[in-house]
Amino acid sequence: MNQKHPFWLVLMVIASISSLAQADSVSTKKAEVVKKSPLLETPSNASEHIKQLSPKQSLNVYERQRAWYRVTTSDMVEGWVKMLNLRMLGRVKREGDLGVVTMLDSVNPLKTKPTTSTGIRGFDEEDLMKASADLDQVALLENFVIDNSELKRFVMNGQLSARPIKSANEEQTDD
Amino acid sequence: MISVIRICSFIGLLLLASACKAPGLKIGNLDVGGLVNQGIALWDVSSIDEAQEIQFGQNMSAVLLGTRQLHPNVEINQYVNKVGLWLASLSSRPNLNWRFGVINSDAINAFAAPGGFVFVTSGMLMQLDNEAQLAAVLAHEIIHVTEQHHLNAIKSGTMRTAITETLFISAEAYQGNTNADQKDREYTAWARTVSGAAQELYSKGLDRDDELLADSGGIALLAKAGYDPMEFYSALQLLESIAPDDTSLALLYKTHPTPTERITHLAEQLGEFSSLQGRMLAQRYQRTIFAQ
Repeated sequence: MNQKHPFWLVLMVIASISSLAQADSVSTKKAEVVKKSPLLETPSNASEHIKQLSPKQSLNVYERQRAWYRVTTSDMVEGWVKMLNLRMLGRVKREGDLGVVTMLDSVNPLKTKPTTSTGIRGFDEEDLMKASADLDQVALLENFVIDNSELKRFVMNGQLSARPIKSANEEQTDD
Repeated sequence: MISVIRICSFIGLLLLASACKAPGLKIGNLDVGGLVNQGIALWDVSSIDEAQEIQFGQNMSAVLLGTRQLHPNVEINQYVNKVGLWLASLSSRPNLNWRFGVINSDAINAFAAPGGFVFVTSGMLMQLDNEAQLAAVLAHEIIHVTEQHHLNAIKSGTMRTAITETLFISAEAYQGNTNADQKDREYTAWARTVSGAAQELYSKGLDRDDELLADSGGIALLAKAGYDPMEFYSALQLLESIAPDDTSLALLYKTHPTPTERITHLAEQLGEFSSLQGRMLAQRYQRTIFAQ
């Protein structure tokens, strides 16, 4: 019986890797059209129009490419529509606690997540009104500080790099 | 009448601060004159320096963390620090003593405090799909800090209570005194007043324009750090897709424009960022947040 464990373990690892490979694309989501929009053949304003989409029309959303979503209509016509012309619908809120939700669940936002018995830890106005200052917790923040070399490694591993961007309230940093 | 008294008290406080003598002046329940006579440092909000800004931020953070504590998972807190510190290093105030933390709460929200303190709830982390979306949330909060939105709210007069009852009383009021009884008394006074200011700030929220400015500055900072700026819109669409009457969103919705309003405002900048490539880092995010 024990000999079967490695086989199942391998299957689970393969399933996890497969899911992660798709993680940079948008999982299938439901959306509705917020204003009259053309459904286009490619993600470009210059593309051929397939049909006109009407406000409130339901769509399935599969992926995003820059500011465009690839969608299908209820009659299974596929095309591209401008990202901000859609409103995402009915996301099932993930429940549980950090580090508890399984990796397979985490890449599928439409799937109901397992609920763990962590209790309700709200943070509303009433909670704030009852709060008293806890400086010991503030001191704990020092435990999470990382040094510059670790930060550089993190940035490099993520293939992140800084680039000049101008904006109204950040432009002074581009000197 | 009360506001007139407060303004008079405010002017009087400034005089007292310079004269270091106070014949029993009270603001609210606080014996300000007594504190001044004990040599306790008072702050002038119009000339607050960076050290005082950080100390005020510490006190504000203490109230947030007194409401709900930090999440016990050190690795996740460190991960949020890494993303936050990378963004902050590219902000207009890279040398602030930036500190990031995860508040252990099911509520979906994020907070900033003066001086470089930024918090995101574990409930928010649960909903996000990738690191770029986390960076979008943190970038919004970082702009609140770099633009001193909380301090400006206090200075503007909309938070006049906070001015008169909190900002002038530095933490030295309890830290610098060796007399235990007196220290406890002063700490109680300080804690009560700082709590009131933090409660006011975090439950009423900032000015709508400040929130929208934090979005427009935040998306620029996100792009600057090499993340995919379109994920700022995705994060807002994600929040928009959760039922608005969900209690976990109550405080966020009370203190911020709705995600739909924020998306509409940011739509003006879409052309500026839509051609930029960038990293989403979904796998790294999900490995760290969900699979430990």
